[in-house]
Amino acid sequence: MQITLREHFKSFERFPVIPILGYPALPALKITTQECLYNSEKHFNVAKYIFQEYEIDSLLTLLDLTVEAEMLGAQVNYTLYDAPQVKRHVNELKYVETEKKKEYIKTVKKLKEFSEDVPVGAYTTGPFTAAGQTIGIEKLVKLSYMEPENAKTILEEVTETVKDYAREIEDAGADYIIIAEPTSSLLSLEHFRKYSKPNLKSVIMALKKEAILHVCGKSKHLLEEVQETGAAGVSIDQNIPLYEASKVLKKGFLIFGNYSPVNLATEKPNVIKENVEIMLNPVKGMENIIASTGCDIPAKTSPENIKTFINTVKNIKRK
Amino acid sequence: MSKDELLNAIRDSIVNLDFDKSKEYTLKALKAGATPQEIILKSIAEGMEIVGKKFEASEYFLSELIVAGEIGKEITKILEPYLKGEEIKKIGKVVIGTVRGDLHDIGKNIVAMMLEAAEFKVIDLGADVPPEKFVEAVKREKPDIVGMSALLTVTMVEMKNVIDALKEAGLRDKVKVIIGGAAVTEDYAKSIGADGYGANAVEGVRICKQWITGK
Repeated sequence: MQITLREHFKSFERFPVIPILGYPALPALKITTQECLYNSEKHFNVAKYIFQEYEIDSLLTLLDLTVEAEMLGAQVNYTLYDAPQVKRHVNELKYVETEKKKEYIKTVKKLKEFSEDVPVGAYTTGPFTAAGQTIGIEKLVKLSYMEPENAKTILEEVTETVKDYAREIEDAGADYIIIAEPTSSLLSLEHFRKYSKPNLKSVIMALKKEAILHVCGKSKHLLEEVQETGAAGVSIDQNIPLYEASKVLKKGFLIFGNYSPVNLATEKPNVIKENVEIMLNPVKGMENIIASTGCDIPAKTSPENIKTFINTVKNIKRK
Repeated sequence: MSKDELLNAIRDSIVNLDFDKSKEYTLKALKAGATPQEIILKSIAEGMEIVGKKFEASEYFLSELIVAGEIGKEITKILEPYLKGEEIKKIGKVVIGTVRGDLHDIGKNIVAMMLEAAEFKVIDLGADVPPEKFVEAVKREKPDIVGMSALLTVTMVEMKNVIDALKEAGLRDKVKVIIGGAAVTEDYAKSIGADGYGANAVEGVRICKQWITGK
């Protein structure tokens, strides 16, 4: 049964809460990052644990911005419990069907089988970010100025990889896909229009399910363009207050956000409670707001802080 | 075009992010009698300062800072044979790196490029740099400033480890320490005893210049 986020949360009297929460569960379950991402049963158990332990409003895979880059030849570094990072970029794209990608698809299937009536979300990396992860962002930016046709060719090839992967995730049962395109906030509006937006649109229009664009960073100048990609919503960080974003975006466009994960990791619970109220009070009455974090919550964030965030959100009436 | 006009044209080609014109005008300027020092200290330095101002005015974004820095590097490559082994006088020396466990280096690279354009000698330690390497570099290079970058919350704790390692080695009072990166905040900088916090590359470089020149 297909779930759309707006319909699913329509009857909620409180704000739905879907933080970008994954890696903090790994030390609790004593599962390493590599073990989780390379084993769909472990990845499923991590996602299930998060859903049950923290009582959030969606089942979600972990955010990993290296899946596509690895498929295109980049080398990835794994630490014990944190998000993987690209260690070595490539000069030429060479597609490889990786074990990690296959396990990610299987994880989405398991999550959908686990619960029919809770939205299942999964991540892909946006084309510009994925290309930067693969060949190096500085090289990509330099090419966009010196060899624009070459940059476009690389981006088109990466877009096809992202598109195929996103479609597989959709076929596996994801109800919505979060396309993480954080690197686009590096771009001027002109370059976003040229090098990121058309490729995002190409991915999103190939999907039947809802796509949410994650554009953390200083991305206010891109917000109006983002809603022209066909996305159902946007995920933003603390750089853009939710109320300000709602004034720029069309009515009903979903807005995920936007508590700073750094603050969530470092603040005391009473401060988190206060700041969540400050975050959400201005947007009471808006049914398109989904409380979240601005980006991935670090692995070392205490369960107490995470629960304070979630429980404070749940105690705020939105109607 | 006169020598001065060509120096201004090089500066403008950096500001306009024009790789081809920057190379063309650099070669013409050298033929017209401009010295490498004039090109570096006037054209590149002024060009990067204007680019910095455009960034602060939100006309330019990080990608434009990257490109301007790359153009500066390309011009410097052209000038190398003309330097004849002479060292351009620098206003100060900075040791910079992304801390241990963090492989992200764009921010650090942008800051390094802008520091070089601002006439600093930059010793770039790269990414994933453990505290002992920062300490070794400070002992070896005797910099005025140590700059650290971290993108992730989990790695920014390494910044305190570096400051503690400098204290242990008796070097803390020999350098100013500035930190920056997506995860970092001014409060965090104060809490770990850093001397400065750069909210972005342009501000970071401004703070370093103020420390050295008082301006």
